[in-house]
Amino acid sequence: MLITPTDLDSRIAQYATAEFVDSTLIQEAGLESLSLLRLAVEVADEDAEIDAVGLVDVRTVGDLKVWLISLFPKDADETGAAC
Amino acid sequence: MLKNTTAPGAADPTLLPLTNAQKGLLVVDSRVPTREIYNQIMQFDLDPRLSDDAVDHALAVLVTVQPALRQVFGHLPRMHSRFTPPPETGHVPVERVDVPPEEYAAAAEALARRLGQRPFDLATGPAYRFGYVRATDGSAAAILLCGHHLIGDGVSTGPIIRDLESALTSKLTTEDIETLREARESAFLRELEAQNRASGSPETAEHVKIWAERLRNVPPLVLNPRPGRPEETDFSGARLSWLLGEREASDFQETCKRLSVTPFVLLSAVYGAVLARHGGVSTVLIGSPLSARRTVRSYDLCGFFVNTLPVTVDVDWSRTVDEHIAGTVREAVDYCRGRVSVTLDQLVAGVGQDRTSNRNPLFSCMLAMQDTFDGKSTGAVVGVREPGNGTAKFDLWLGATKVESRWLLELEYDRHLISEAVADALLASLRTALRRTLADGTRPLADLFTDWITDGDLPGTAVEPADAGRPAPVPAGGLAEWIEQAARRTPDAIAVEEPLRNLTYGELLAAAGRTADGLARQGVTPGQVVGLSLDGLCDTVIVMLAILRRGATYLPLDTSLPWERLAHMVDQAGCRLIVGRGLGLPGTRTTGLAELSVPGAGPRAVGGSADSAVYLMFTSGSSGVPKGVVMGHRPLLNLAAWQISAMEHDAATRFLQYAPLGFDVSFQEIIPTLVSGGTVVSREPADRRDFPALIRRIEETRVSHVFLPVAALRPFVQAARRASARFPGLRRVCVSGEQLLVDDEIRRFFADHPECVLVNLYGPTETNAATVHEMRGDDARWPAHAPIGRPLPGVAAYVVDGTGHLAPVGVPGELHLGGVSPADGYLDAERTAAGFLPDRFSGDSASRMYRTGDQVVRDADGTLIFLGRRDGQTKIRGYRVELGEIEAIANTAAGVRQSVAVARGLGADRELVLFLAAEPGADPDHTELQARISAALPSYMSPSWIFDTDGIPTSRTGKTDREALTALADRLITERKTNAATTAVEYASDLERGLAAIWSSILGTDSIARDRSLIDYGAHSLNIFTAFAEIEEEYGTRVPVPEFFRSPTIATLAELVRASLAEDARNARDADDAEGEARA
Repeated sequence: MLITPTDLDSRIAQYATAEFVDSTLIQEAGLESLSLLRLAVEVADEDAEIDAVGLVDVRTVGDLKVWLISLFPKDADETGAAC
Repeated sequence: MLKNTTAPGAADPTLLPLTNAQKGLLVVDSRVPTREIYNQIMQFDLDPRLSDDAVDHALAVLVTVQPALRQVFGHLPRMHSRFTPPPETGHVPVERVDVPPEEYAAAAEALARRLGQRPFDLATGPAYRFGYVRATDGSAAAILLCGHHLIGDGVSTGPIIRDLESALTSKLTTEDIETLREARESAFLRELEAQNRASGSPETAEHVKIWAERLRNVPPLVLNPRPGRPEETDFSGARLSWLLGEREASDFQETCKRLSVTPFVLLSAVYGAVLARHGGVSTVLIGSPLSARRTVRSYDLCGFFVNTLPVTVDVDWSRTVDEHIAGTVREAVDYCRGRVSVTLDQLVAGVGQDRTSNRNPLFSCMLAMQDTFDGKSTGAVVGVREPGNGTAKFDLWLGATKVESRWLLELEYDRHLISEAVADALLASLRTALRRTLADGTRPLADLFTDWITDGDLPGTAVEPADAGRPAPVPAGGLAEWIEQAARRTPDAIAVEEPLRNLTYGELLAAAGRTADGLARQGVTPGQVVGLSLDGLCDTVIVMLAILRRGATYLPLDTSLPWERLAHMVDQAGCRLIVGRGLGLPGTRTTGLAELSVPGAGPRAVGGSADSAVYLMFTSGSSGVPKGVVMGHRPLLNLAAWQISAMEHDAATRFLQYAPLGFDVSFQEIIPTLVSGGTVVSREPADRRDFPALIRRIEETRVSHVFLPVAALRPFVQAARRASARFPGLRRVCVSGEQLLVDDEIRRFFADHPECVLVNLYGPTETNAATVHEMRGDDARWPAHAPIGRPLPGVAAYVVDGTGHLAPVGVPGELHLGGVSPADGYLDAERTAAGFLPDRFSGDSASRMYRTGDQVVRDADGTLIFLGRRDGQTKIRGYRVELGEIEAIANTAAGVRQSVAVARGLGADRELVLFLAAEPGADPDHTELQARISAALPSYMSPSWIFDTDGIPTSRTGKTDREALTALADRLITERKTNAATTAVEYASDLERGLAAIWSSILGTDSIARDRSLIDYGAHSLNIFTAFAEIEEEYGTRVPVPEFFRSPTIATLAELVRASLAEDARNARDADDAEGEARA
């Protein structure tokens, strides 16, 4: 499943309560902690682990996208968690 | 229900591992008697049109597809859980309630309570139960789920609601349900394994080490501090709540955006500030459950997947609110979020706190965000909330729940530890603080709070003036005139009584008049300071009155003080004339009373005025020199007026004069008595420390009022008991000087004297007595830690907390005394400015208040309780000692780089210990230092022990760690005593050996040398009395105390005992002879 940057934006938009660009701060976009985890659950491999520690450094929507991308499922012959 | 039938040791695949958090909770659960405190209740408001069948089916499905609900727990072979089989429809425990619509809300509440109050059997299960409440007109319905915390957490709400909705709308087939069940059970196990992997990793271990170090020195937060606060609790709780208004809710959201913080950070920041204010601390640990979920699939699971971790909120009252939130607290929260694999039990073990009570380790307050349900339901579930169940797991729990985009804040408190009034005060602070935060984040943190004002009045809630009917009119001419008015009314009444001399009011008036003229002739002008060092109470009172009549100020000079100190006092005071014994102090002349009383020509003394200062008394100063307190008329006129009324003074009053004149208590013994026309009775010939003699004197003289230092109260009642003495005329026993601790012995005395009231007075020299608390023999229960009570009329008592505001109920703060009570000031203007501040609470720019340095707390009815001090001031047997004064002297000794004095021991056994850090290569001479101290300071300020130390320990904040030194002192002293015990001591006789044994047991030390002062071993005025009582019992003879003080050694004591026995024998023979003669 390939998720494009545009896909990410539209997914994020479903949880955001305000307009945003990559440099928008998370709280300014109206994204709550729960929403961030929900997003992670949506994009990550079902068998993956999400290390919420990574969320601590997520300040902007841009940071969020980087973090989400790191959770994307790997190729089929790779197993293992995305952190 | 399956039982655990696996043979121990065999690996059973149906056993699930537990996470550390689960293990911790399981252990704690098994230890508390009120296990229902871990019951959690969720209420799901439903679309009321759903049928009963639909609901039944949905509940069974929910339990099937959420395996956490089907857990049961066991301890052997190791702690584990297992899933019980899914229930069939209709076999899920549900309590159904159908009520008329007007009773719906109450019924739902009651149902929640019922569900929550019964504990669960975690071994057999189920660990959940449901409730279903419906309004009979179909207007409302709700499902309540009560489960043990082990099976669910905050994030579980979402998955439960999603599954409930699917189940209620019948979207799932039987196959779907079975597939889902298997997948969920597998996911559950995977999540447990993932969490255990994370918390067991080396990285986590490293985090624990560093974090534990940071936590180790945070002082505990104690809300509603008071002596005797229960160590254990029964976990009963109550809740207060506050739903934010719409405007407030949107401001809340705006503020979070502006500062770029989550609601959790904002609430932690404000809650932390509130806790810091109410607990009187500057660092607070708030326990908060943080989601520790790791696997993606776990987000569909209900389960206990949180780690509750302490968020450290450092409070700097001068920092701005915005900085506090976006800087300090955000970092603190991120610190926790970055270490969420750490479990609480690991931290507790790392910090190494000992858990001796059933209180929570590490933190006593918690913040739980219930924002895990965003309210966007598709229809079946229209709302969710979590009612309380009348218990409290923590001293204070703050829950924040999103209700229709507004925050509902609920404060749940432990009723055993926190009273309703204190809880109300906490909520009020929280409200004000949050509102102010949202309004203006640029203000300093301290400004989030306001002065606590009850009933529209400033909380100086004064004692009701006792309505004994005679308001004493206070004349403008001051105390002298007031006393003279009384004297003229009853000139033949006795004003002062000594064993060999009585002084009538007429005589007092005449003598004082002559003496005042004499003072005038000697050049004393109004406003000057005259020293007083006379023997004899009559003479002393005459001269006191004469000085007041002259409009001058009297300075008591205790001749037992070191000469150096007296010289300093008179020099500071500008005192040129001393009436009494020749002291040879530089710059002064001494004159006798006889000289002054000679009638002669010269200026006649005017009547004195209320504008002049009455007395000058010195008190210990921290910088090494004592401070002279100049006490004016106004506070004393007020005090005397109150006392006359409250203590029922009249012409029949007979007040024992016990206190040294240099103690301000002497004022209360003498002046109000004279103003009332009563009699001041000398304690002579009894020595102050000779309690049996005092008891005899009190019996003989039938005094009605006695004022003792707190330290003397126990010896006093004990001596009374041993002598089987009763005092039918005694009406008041007043005490002051330090914290009064009441025990059964003291209570018994007052129960035996039902006409006598125990009056606990409090007030530093800078205000004289300012607050009072009375205890009567028939009071149902006397508190062990006696309160200092309420302020006197005219006195304002302000409790100022860490934020600089007037403290609410239950919040500790520094006591400031204002109103009419403050003295004029110190002799030193700089110190006056530092200690006597403008009273910013009174609204009157001219009034002042004295900052006492005493920490107090006010309880719900306004009574003040003394908590202690935070600085280097302490009381030794009632004497005020500034440790700094001793250190200042010690620092002048050769070779001493730094010195620290500490006080150790309790009550009468409190003693001073001095630590010396030497200059490199130096070896300070302890004997020489002790001599230096004795030459400069009063005897009670002499350290009992002096130790050398390599370095002075400092605390986290860089200040001298007196606590550590006190602990060190305890160890070193125990060591010394033990070592002393092993050295053999020689005694000259069996008598000496026997006396040494008595002292040994009292002083807790062996090997007392026969010719060394017992004072060195810890003997003091109070345990001496105990020793003498035992000596009397053992040897059958009474040894005079004053003789002993001249040379307080075992050898001398033996001499005295022998002499006393010999005298007793002689007296007995004489009596026999006389009897024999009479018969003959």
